[in-house]
Amino acid sequence: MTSRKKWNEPVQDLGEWDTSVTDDGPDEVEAAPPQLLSTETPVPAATPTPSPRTRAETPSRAERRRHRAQSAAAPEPPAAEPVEDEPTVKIDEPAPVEAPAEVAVAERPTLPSETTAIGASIVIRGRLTTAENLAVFGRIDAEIRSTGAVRVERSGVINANMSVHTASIDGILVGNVRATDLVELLPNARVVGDLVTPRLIVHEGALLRGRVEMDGLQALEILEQSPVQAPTAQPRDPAEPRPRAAVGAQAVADASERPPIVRKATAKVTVPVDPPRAIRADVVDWDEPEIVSPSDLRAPAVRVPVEPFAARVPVDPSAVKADYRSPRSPDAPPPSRLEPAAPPPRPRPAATPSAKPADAKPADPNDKGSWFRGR
Amino acid sequence: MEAKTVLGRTIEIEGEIEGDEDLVVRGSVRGTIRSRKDVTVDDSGDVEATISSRNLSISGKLKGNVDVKARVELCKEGTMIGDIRAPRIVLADGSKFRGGIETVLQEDGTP
Repeated sequence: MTSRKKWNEPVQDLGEWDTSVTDDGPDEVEAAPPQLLSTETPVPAATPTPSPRTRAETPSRAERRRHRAQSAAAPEPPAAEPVEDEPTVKIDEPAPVEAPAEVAVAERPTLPSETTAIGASIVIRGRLTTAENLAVFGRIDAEIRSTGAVRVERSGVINANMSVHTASIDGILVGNVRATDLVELLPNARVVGDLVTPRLIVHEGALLRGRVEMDGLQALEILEQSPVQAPTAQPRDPAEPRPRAAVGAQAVADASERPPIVRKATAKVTVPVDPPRAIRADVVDWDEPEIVSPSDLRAPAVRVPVEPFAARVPVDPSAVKADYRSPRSPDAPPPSRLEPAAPPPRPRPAATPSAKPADAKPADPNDKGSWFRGR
Repeated sequence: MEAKTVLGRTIEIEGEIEGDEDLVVRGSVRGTIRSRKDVTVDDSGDVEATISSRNLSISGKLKGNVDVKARVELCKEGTMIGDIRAPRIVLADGSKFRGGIETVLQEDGTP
């Protein structure tokens, strides 16, 4: 345990960093008096505190590593400080700051398995569809459609619309978000765009410019439902005869004696739990089908026009000509591309019910012959 | 450890991917992939893209032209349709390939 004694090491690099405020909460009991943050008065090395936690006064290694990642220019505390009384114990420094992928994902184990991390130097343009979770450390200029969670890390930039299950933003997002479950703006979030989501969490420090649309219909239902009426009536004794409608003063007297029987309105306030399907289309700027399952991702979608990768249906010139009405009799319908041209109805004699079927069908020039069965 | 991006099985990307990292594709990519490091198309990968990278290793399906600075390796389970332009090319026994091959000099002039 002596090798981990850090209470006497200089903490210059931490400077004004407040040890009481960390992302994960204080690791150890914060028993440090404030003067430990300065190097002028080192704590005498003679009497170590008898508490079992020798690192009580200093922040944990994970926190210091994170802080070092934030202030990259801060140098490590030098091994030999003239201020200290006893030889400095070499701090077993963690590995130099790794790619942010490792640090952030490890410390926030909220992402379930099957997470794709998009590295810090990656740029993706176009369109991205996935059923997995995404952790974005790089830049995505692609429209994202996911049935999982998308997390924009601190170094991440998303410059497009997102249609996801859960969005957790700790970086820069320029674009609209439509989530079916939750949007969370973490303290480093910088968002320009509209959010359409049933649930929203905004942490302190997040910046947002845009409109927020939570499912208005359900919220109104909850407000309109009447509060639960407390049952004031006594449970009626089954042996007691039913009160009959008495007439006159006696009835009034009887009624005043017994507590009034209150009819209960609907006793429950139902809070819908399912993800909303009734997001009003008129308040949403951007028209996208709602994703419920991966099979929805395969469905042909109304696409937001995205540069050269928007699908365009090729126009076949011959097909256009076929639709054009060629000059022929105005009665004849134009040939349809979808079904074979039906021959015009065969002319029939006016009123000869006794005519044989053979006589009723004169030679018809438009009759295609045996390939056509039926009318 | 070098940073690496793994595009999972269910990911479908239409467009361009550019990066300075190793890239492992297990999903589907349509478009262009440009990387200064290594690109790997895994067994479940289905790529229809033009790839330009330092190294390339194919164990899945690749359809597209390839311009690689160091080495292209088409593994046993890999199939490729397209042209390869690289200094060093390895086609493993059992792989399927259709296209053109052009071995070029490396950047420093050595074969």
